[in-house]
Amino acid sequence: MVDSRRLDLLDPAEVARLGGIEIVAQGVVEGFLAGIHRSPFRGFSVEFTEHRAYQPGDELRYLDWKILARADRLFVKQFEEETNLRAMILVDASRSMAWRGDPSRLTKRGYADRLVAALALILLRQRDATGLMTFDEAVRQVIPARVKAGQWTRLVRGLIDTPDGLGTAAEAALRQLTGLLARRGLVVLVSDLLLDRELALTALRYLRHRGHQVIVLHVMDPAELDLVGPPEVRLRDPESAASVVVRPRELAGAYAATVRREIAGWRTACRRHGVAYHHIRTDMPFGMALRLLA
Amino acid sequence: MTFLHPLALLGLAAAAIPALLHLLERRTPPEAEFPPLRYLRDAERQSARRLRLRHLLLLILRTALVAVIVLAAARPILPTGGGGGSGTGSGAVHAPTALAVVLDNSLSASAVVDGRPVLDRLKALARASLAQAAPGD
Repeated sequence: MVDSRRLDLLDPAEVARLGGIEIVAQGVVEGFLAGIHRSPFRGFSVEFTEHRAYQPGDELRYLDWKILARADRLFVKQFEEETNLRAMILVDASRSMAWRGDPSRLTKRGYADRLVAALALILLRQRDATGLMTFDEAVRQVIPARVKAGQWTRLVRGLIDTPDGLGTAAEAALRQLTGLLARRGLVVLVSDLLLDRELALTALRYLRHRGHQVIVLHVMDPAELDLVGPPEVRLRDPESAASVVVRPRELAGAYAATVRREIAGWRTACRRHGVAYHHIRTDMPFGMALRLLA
Repeated sequence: MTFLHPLALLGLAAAAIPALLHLLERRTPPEAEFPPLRYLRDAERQSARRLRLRHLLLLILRTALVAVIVLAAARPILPTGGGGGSGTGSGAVHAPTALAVVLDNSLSASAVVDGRPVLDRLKALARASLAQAAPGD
């Protein structure tokens, strides 16, 4: 275990040099939880929804004593999720995620893995069943949501064992997910979102309709936000092998505008469908990214 | 329009240099991976017309610049009122000149040589050179 320095607030690439995913995620979570008084993740699971008539066998602690005192009738309080939350975290492992704009940063995938490991640790610590799915153009790893001992190690292993893939097809993974999450739960999609927006949104909307809470984490390298480079350069898409020759100086303005429009487009589309959306840069301290989720 | 140094017009060939550079500079640029290529394509599509226009204008401007410099070096003159100097003829074209006649009216000029005062000869010379002056002088 790393000492009490606030790893969650340091430069992510620097933190990542301290050790493997486990060490980093544990250190980040220690710092993060030390910095807040109450876990921000607690609470989605125990929302009161309705009353139901008491039946023999129901736990007495859920009995609504006030109603009993007032009306002399037995009711139990029902909660959104009687046990804890079930969360599935989806990680985009496509080739584009294995990119970084600067060797001093983590790749998008490297950043996502560590962030997801930290998030999973927080969820598991509060006894929320947590699972993992990694995908590129097909689903690669599926670890069903559990709370049992060793689950976190299994999840981290699942992240490590997923190689960098090729294309991106989130909608297949999202569809398969609906089969895995029978009960209403939490779905976290971590991706650079270089995929078909309409298809992905349709799948997300479907999850939302099934009652799942959906969070999209849009991971971007800072170098993807602005176009800089030599006077003339041939830029190649690692996934499709397509390429274009551009003069970055000429196109920088239009490119920056396009990216910002794209981000705004995702944000509004997600909001419209009741999906939480967060834009995360790979130079953002892990603690800040976790706080966005809180 | 005529030129004082028609040979300098050969320099007009240099006007082709920007266009040639444009064609020859099809060297292979360095390559790099860039995942958000789709955003780049969008940006390019939106500004393609503006960029093409800008490139074209730049090329025209560069060519024009070279051409103008060469033309200036050839010293063009517009034959304004070319018939003004009758005796000079169109062949004796020269650049507009500031002409000042200074006549030696001293004692030595009044000396009589060959039955005429020197001053008279000087006056005739001055008139002759004045007659050569074009209206632009």
